[in-house]
Amino acid sequence: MYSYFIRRFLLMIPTFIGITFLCFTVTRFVPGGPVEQAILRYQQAMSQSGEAGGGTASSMDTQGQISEEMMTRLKEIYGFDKPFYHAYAIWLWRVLHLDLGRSDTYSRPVWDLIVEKFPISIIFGLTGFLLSYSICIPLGVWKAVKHGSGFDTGSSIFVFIAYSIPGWTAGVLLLMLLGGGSFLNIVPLGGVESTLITPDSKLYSYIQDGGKVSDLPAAEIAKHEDLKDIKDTEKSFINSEHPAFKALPKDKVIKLPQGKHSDLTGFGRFLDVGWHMLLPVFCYVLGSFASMTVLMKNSLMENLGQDYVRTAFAKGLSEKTVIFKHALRNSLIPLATGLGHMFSLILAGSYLIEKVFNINGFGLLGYESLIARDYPVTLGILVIASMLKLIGNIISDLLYCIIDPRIRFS
Amino acid sequence: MKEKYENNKRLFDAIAFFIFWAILYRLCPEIGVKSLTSNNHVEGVISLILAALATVYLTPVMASIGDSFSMFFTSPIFKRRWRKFKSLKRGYYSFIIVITLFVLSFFAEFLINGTAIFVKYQGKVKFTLFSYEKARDFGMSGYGSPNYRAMKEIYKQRNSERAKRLRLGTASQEDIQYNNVWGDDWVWMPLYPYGPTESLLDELPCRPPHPPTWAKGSWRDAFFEEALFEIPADKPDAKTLKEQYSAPESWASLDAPMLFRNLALAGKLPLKEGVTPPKGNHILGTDDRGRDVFARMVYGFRISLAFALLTNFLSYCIGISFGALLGYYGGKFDIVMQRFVEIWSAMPFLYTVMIFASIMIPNFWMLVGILVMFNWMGMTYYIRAEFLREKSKDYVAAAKAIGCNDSTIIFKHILPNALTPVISFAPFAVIAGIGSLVSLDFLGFGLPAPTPSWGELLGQGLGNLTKPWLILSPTIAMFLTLLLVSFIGEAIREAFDPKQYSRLR
Repeated sequence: MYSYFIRRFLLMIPTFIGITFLCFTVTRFVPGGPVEQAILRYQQAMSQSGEAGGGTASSMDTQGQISEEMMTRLKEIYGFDKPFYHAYAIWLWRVLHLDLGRSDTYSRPVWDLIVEKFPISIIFGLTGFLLSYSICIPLGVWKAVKHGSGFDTGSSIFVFIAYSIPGWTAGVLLLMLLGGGSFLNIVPLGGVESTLITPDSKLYSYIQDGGKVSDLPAAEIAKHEDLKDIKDTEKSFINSEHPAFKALPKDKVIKLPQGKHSDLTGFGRFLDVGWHMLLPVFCYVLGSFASMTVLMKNSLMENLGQDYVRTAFAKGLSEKTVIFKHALRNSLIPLATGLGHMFSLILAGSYLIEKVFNINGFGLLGYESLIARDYPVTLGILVIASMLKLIGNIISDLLYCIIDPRIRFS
Repeated sequence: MKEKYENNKRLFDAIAFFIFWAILYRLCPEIGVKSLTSNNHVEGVISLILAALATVYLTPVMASIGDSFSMFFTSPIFKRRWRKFKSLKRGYYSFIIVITLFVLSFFAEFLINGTAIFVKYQGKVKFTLFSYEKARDFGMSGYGSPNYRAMKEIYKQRNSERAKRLRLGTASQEDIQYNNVWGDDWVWMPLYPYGPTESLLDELPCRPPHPPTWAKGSWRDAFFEEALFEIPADKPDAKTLKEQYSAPESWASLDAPMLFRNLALAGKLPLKEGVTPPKGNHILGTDDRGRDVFARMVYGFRISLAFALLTNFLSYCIGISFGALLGYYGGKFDIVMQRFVEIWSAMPFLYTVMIFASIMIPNFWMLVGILVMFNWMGMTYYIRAEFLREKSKDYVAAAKAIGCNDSTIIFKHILPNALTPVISFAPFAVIAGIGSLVSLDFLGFGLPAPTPSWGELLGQGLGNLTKPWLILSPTIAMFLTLLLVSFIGEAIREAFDPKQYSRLR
């Protein structure tokens, strides 16, 4: 038993190396990599400056030519001066020290970028995950209990529909229907929070009090770094959370004429985020709705046909007791083990959903890094995603053992 | 099949070699061999060597696999299950519909295309569908291939003019030639005369995406947005509104821009001079490059389904062979290779495919290859488990006792009994395949640019939320296809892998 899990942990090492090595190699051997991109940027800059400078003969000559020396420098910067296995070894060594390198496009450590995006993805993924469990389990149970009834057939229609339309496709469709493009305008077009709340919007009633910067005493303005540089003090406002708000004369306190997410009251912020999460979370749920409901139903149906259920009925237990106390607990096993895959599930579907709803999370970062050929970020995300998947696999095995004592891995 | 193959080994090998070589030679430029070298001889030599290898190693195996499948499909068990499947009406009819549509879609060029099927010009009938024709060869001006739709109109006009000249007696030598020998010119267009990759910007007014031709309201919107309505100089008062435009008098109180907008959208204003209302019949409108959406939908259906079937077929081939070997031989080999499969399947599927696709910028075959590379593992587990179970049964022991060799036992005895999961998983794998292609196309990592695809259209729709036809068309097409396939899957599972639930109450 223990040896099984130790083996599983040891197996993570070759798996991890295999995945990253494969992708690392591909990024090295295919044209259009960072060195070529840098050359392209350089050439563009050269030709632009050439045009700006009137195109003297000397600059025209150098245009588009990269000296040998510069090429070596570029290769050195991007780590292309060494053979790929050597470069991979260096990269791996850095990864082991939790150094994922620096992003080419953001010029920031990859690790910081990922850590910054993680909470958003987790909030969306986790909400969707919990919601789908809390919808699919009761529905599956009820379908199994009422197998063959009108309710079962009726809900099966929804299951078929949900299975035939991928979550993110439904997202695009719903955005078109509800996002104000062609029909209704009741949901935001994307993002995580409102960027502009005007008196027209419904959230305006939750906006904080505040005041004009020009109404603040000059001494107070000088105290705060962020207020000092404001030129148009008449049209700039502070909200009640700003440290300078206390210095504002009481009669000058007004309701802010417009604002953004951070100008809302606590409850308003909650509503704002909820309003933005509505459609994406619906898509997350839709993505796993069909398979999870059917899994729950089939699993319970299977258990209801078992001998121990017959015995339970035979000794005179009520149907309710038999189903909920005996059969249900056993039939939850396949779903419970799915909890282990939660990590990767939260991220797996998210590339598409985050793209559709423009949620600035982990998946969108991965997508954009691919578009920009920002290989350090791409590989960093691959590292995190594969680690999560590997750990998820082990956790799901572990859960299997804990929940179902009959199972013994060897 | 295997016996036939053994008896006529030379003949079969020769045929197989030729087929392999033809396929490989055709595929060489597609899978990137061409990029290695610009020398055509190298390409030929590589494909010859590969074809020879494939003939030696693959043909006997394929003959054996063919045997197992034919045994599987002719077994009484299969026939019983097939009868069961046929009795499940919903799944069976879905199956018939999908197969019919898929077969029909291979003739899509004859039904939905911007190129004429036959053209008759100066007495000669020419089959033009698959060949590049010069406009000048058909008496048109300009370079490049002719616009056949325009050509059809021009021919009609020329024919009537010629008839007129003949009637009036002013006919030229050519006209008489036409009348006596050649007969009228004509163009035979497909049923729906627009192609999937053909931009219709010259034929339709306004900027793309163009609304469906029948959506008059959306067209008025488009015309108004581009200020193509004739706006009267003065704002009409209540009386003129009522008399001239038969519009409600209350509109008179509106601002001038609002009033004109209302009038234009109600269809009360004339179009500017030179602006023609949309011609033709685009039942689903056009996309953001002015290509007909319906044509792209149909060709997209063919590509999606072909892609899904092909990837799954190849994944299954690899998965089945691998699983069979693992299950049959077991032991150290099994343990080692299973670790390998495990490592391979621990990859984050979508992201790895995205990385590969974004870097390689693949064509159809490369994309199939990439997907197969990360998709074949699933079937291995099932086949391995089936083989492990079947291996210990008496009939295998009996086959061993009479001296069958391993390949006979694997292909002839066990495999036909282990194919049930393959059949019952296939429809769901097809659904997953279509889903992956649409997702990749949507993200822009799928098939290269002008290829008609549902995902690309969805991506366009996301950028044009005010043009509902761009989103509704692919969503509905995809939904219906996946729904039909999932009905098939449900019925096949019911027929092939029935779960008997016993209930007490």
